[in-house]
Amino acid sequence: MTELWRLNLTQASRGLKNRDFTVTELVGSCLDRLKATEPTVAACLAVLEERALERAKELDGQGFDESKELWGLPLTVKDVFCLKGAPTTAGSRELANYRSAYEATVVRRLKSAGAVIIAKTNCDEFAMGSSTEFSAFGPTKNPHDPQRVPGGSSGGAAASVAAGQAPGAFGTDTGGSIRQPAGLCGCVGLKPTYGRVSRYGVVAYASSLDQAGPLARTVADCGRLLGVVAGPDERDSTVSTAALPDLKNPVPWDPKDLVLGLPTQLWPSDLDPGVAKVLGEAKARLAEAKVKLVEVDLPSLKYAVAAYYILATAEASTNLARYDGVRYGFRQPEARDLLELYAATRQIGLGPEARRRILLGTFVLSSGFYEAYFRKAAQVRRLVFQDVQKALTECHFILAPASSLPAWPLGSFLDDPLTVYLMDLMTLPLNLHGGPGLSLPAGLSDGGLPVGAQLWGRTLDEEGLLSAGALLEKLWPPMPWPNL
Amino acid sequence: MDVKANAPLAMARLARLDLKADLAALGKMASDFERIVGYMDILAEIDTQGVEPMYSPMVEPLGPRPDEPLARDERKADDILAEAPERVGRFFSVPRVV
Amino acid sequence: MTNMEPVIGLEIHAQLNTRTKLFCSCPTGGQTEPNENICEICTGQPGALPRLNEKAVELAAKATLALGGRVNGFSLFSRKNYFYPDLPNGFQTSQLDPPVGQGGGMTLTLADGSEKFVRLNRIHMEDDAGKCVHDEKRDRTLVDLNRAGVPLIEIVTEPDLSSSQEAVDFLKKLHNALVRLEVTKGRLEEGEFRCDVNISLKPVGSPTLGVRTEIKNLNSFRFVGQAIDFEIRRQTALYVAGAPVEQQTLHFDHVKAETWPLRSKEEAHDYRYFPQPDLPPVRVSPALIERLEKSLPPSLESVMARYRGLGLKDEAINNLLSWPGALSYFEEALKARPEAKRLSTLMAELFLPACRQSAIEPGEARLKPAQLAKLAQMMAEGKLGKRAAYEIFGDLFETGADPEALVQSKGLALVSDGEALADWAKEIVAAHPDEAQKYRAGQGKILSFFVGRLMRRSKGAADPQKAAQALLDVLGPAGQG
Repeated sequence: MTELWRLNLTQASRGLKNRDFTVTELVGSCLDRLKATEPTVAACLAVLEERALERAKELDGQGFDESKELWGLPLTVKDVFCLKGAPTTAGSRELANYRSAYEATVVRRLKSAGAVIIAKTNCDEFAMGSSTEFSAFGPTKNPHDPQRVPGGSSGGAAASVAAGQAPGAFGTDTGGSIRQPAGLCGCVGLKPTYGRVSRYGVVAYASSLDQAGPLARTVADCGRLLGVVAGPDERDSTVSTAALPDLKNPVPWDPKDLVLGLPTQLWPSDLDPGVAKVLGEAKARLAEAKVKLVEVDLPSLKYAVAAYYILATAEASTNLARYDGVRYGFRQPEARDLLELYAATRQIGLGPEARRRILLGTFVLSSGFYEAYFRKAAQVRRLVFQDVQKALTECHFILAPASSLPAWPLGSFLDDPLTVYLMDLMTLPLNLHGGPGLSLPAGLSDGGLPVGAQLWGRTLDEEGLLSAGALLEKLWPPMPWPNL
Repeated sequence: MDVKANAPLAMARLARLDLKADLAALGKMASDFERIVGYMDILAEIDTQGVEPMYSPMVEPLGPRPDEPLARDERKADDILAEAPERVGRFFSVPRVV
Repeated sequence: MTNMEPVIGLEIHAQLNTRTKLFCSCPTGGQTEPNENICEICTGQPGALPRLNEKAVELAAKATLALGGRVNGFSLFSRKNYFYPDLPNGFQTSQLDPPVGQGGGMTLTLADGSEKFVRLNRIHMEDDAGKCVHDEKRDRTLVDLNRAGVPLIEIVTEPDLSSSQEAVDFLKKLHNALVRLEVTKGRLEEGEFRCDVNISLKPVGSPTLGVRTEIKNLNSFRFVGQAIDFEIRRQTALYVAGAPVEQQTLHFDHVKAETWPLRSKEEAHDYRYFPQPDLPPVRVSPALIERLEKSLPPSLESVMARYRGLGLKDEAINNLLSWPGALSYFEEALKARPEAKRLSTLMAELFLPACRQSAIEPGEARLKPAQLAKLAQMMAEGKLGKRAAYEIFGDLFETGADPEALVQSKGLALVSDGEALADWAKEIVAAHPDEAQKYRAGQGKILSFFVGRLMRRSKGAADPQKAAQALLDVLGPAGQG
């Protein structure tokens, strides 16, 4: 038998339909690959082997079902998605033994579309981080170089897809947490428009910025996965009621009719040479194909990182207030009184980055500082929104690096939070804006590390975004498998 | 600014964190805090007079829901109670609030 | 020493009359066990999200309109952050700015007959917290989240009240209005209507307010009155002694009828309000406002006037107004055109207490309004005496039987009811003083005149022998010529 784990979603689905192999064989192959690669990449927090094989058997018994878009396809989900009866840790010690009493809408929709969830993937604690090193359960490693980070916070998701553990995964993107790790691991990642996908059952980091989305090995696969989970949900009132476009089988955009805007602020002269070189070649290929590349100006981006970290930490500080050891999760058992119970539980249960962000978020909302920080940041958000809106009238999509650096060695920035925050400049403005973004591999650096680029689209235009992505995917070199 | 210098411990009290439990990390936490807030002060240079704050990028969100209870079999009370770190009967239990 | 006068403002919390909680589909009541009506949303599980109950918005808007306020077409929920074991998310979801309703007020009639308009500042929606029970034996605090997430409106008045009497009158009037609108069930013993009181003193005529204290969480009208009186005396004593009033939050000890400062907190509260990102702005359309306006019942004043016209005393009217569902039951019963006064007495003395005892609302009773009206009418028409009516009421309430049939089957019809016969005898004798005079003067056969009158009065239902006896009891033996 060929190595079924190498198939992308579309190929695997076709094979199942043609009865070239069974769901059990496909799922089994992915689980084998997972077990073989896991000691190196550590992408998963929980492997749902028994459950997955049982489900595979059940599906095989029922036979292929055309009406189920993801019939028999193995997937992983980031460990922020609640899956009833399975652990949901969000990468935190606080939730190390927590089992959710209910299911996330995304998970529910994946399951009813026939998908088989084989693992829950590692992430920075409560999705707060850019390297997956802030997981309470240890870091995930980059499949292309296990000495390096996979990016984050959906680092486990990106690594699992890049390593061949599953052909598709779900992650969340609050400031770049899908697009940046996809870029660093060499896979495709899609952050949908805010409100395109229900956040119900997704452990919250920052509610006005969080958005769930797919990672896969092709643009079309991302579209297929998004199509299944997107759309109105009666449990999340921030979800858009707008009609869902056709996201399957995106047709590559006509290059002669494509204008991409390059924000001067995101293409600085001192961009990392490795990134600059790969993306320079990628741009040359676009120009060759007659794609028009224009400069656009997003002046408010100078303030975007500050505004983002004010808004995100403010929301996070109160989203994380529920981890108090009263109703579920970790509790410091020796606490003598209530105050001690709260403080000890939270001090021990929450990791250093979560605590740092809680302190910052508490501060920017506190009496005397609200106007100067929180409200001002919300005003700057409006300016960023307006700048991006204006730029998107001058081009079809905005093109930017998915990360200002290729994957860096583990531990590089652990003591330097501000530098890591500043690196998020490439991705976080889109979360402030709310529009959709797609990150895809542009090539390998001289050091053999993936370099990604991202497109930002107009609000709710995932269809156009996938179509443009399909063109870029065709023009750019394919991403080789990592040596694992 | 004095207020900001004292901020980490004051904020920790508000946020129910026991920073003093980790004295070794406290200094670093405070200096990181100061550096990051110092960076955020960049916002002071931009004039936002008259700019409407944007709190969310929601587009055409869903409205409120009808006032209809769930069917009894959809209720999850027992599963939720099963997660409690400490219980007395069907109550969640904590040290006594004097 | 200048004379000081109290300045009082109220913050009233009323539980909205919805079937489900404010942000989730858990029932708002009917639980028999702790933590029975809970779900991932009202217990703050990771990943759970709120969705607003549209009925709560309607009721809040309706209350605003009925109280003469302005409904904001756009309002926002905010998070109010603090830690407490009964607060599952670590924040309460409440409206800061803008709230759903602003302005409005109610007119009070003061003791001297003059009128005073008490202004409302705002009406906003928020979710309630759970309940803590302190278990002394185990030295634990036990948390029940059945109440967590139950919808409330908070009504905030301007500091327009000047005495405990005014405050209590205002609260009763507001309670009546909200119960009548079915905005709240208003059961005080269930904590469905409770209030915080802000009090300060200022020199008479001065525009400057003094330092104020806040008395928290009073759930009876009597306690409100007592707490205010105590606090006015306490603050006055401080002024007389030249001591400053401290701005603080107080608790009312209803056993001692005194206020006490709540245990001093480690730090001042900093609630860090900010717009709740999980909820879209609340929209109330002009069409909804119009529909609600049309649905409003006639004003309290016009209802009072109509009932007074039917002969009801204010006390009886207020009694009907203060029971959830009593008014609509009464209105329904009135359709059968019974004597209104007797009907209201029956409701106050028998029907409503029976409802309370069975823990049901009037509308849920087996005894239907038309039957109660019939009972009242039978009494008014003299077909049934008061004692007999009280005797059969328990049965009627239990079974919802037809009162006429029941009276028949029990043989309680007025013919054998001495009490009613005696009433009629007195009435008839009093109405015919000349004949009575003649009878007493010796014309014994005039008795038959009286018996005839009584038979006619009873529409032929009275037992003639018993009627004669009843008349004899009133008239005494005939005179000896």
